[in-house]
Amino acid sequence: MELKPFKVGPISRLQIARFGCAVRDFNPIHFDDDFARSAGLPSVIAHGPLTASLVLDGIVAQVGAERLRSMEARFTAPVRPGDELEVTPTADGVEARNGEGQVVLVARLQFVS
Amino acid sequence: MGESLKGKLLFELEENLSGHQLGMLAHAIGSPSGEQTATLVPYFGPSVAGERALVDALKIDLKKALLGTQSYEWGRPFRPGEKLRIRVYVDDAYAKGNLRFAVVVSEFKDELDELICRQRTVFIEREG
Repeated sequence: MELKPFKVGPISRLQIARFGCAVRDFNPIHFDDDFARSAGLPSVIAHGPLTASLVLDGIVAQVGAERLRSMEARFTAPVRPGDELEVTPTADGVEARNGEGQVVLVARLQFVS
Repeated sequence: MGESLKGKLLFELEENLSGHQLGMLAHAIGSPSGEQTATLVPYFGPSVAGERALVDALKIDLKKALLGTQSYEWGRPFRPGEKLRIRVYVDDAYAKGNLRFAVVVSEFKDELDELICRQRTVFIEREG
């Protein structure tokens, strides 16, 4: 399956809040800057599954939801509000980098043949 | 988040997937293909009963916790209005160095017991 590079974001605080409501995940690390700082982060961060869903969305836009068999997403760095991700194909999936070139997600994909 | 969690059933419930819920997720994704994508990822399995229930069940310290990986295996996309049988359990729990790991599996089946989606989530908690 040949995928084209695409962009995700910028990811907003509102989007993080909407996702938290949709999946019932109100972990304060996604909503409360003071809590996030006490956990050693500079600010709130996006839910990992939100980042995965947004990357998945870029793939669905190219191939359709019915074509996906599996996705394994590994989170390698936090995604913060304002981050815009560049998603590029790899040998077995995609990887997403933030504006500083840091890899934040590596995903392996399988498609229905 | 200790090794004794291994094999623990966290949640077992039945739920109707509403079009509203799919719409909320599509809105969060916010793209023209969001409605389609939402049919693949309408839930984050471990938080299906709310993140507070998960925190209590796993005894996670949220200030020390990270999400390592999130995997999805699909039998087919979810359909609005369908009744789901949802089972969430700890498949593995172990320690490596100063890190503790819990692997949580979330299975979503339809009324015919056919698998719609299986999620595998790896939580990591730092010691200290």
